[in-house]
Amino acid sequence: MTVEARQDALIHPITRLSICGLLAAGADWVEFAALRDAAGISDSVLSKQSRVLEDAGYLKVRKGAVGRRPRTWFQLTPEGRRALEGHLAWLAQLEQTVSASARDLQRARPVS
Amino acid sequence: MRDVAEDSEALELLRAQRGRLAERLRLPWWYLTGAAILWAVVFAGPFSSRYFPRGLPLWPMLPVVAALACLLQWGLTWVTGIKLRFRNLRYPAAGRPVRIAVLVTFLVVGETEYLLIRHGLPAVAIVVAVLGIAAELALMQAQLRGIRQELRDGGGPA
Repeated sequence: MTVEARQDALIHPITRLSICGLLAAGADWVEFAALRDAAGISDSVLSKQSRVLEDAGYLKVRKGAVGRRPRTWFQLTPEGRRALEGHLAWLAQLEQTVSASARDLQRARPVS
Repeated sequence: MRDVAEDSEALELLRAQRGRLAERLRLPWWYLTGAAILWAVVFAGPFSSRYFPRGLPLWPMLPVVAALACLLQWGLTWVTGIKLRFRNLRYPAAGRPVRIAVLVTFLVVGETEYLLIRHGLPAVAIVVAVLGIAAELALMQAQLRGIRQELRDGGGPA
């Protein structure tokens, strides 16, 4: 199946891109602390951004507890996965364009 | 809004973050010990035919082994914060040869043990069982390496 390269304004901010990208990496569910540590963000930032993604239907949140320790788990929805794949394809295209432009500039630079 | 250079750096950052997530997925000592005990129970099966002429009924052992396996998996999920998908023939794609090797090792070790016990060589059969346990643990680690690689590459199942 081909992915349509498309910029997604909701995933574009780097924190939300990180959250979605990590959840799409292959795990079924990822726990709050694991996601926070891998993304290198604070608790409050993860809470805030995950709520935005959940409201958009990109993220599923499951809350549970073992004993007194509450634990929150995240999973990317199929809709979130589609949006992420399109956005990553768009970013990859952009990366290629930037590399090609840099090569062209280097070639055009006069030899001193 | 970010500029173009930052956008292209975003992919690089995501790769590094996936690498950090993958690094969390390591088997702790208690998981390896528990898995070794489980395989020891499995490979002890052929010995029951020697010491118990009618053999031991396997069905009471199955729930215990299954419960211990579930407990180990639950513990690993709790410690790593990563709940993996159910391992089947499609997932992880990189671990398919390893899963075949697990099955082949199980069959070969079991049959070799039966043969050795029948020929009056129980000590050699024990050595084969121990080697079998070590091989199964090594294969388990190899399968996890495959899953880690998939997490790093972001090649999870759709």
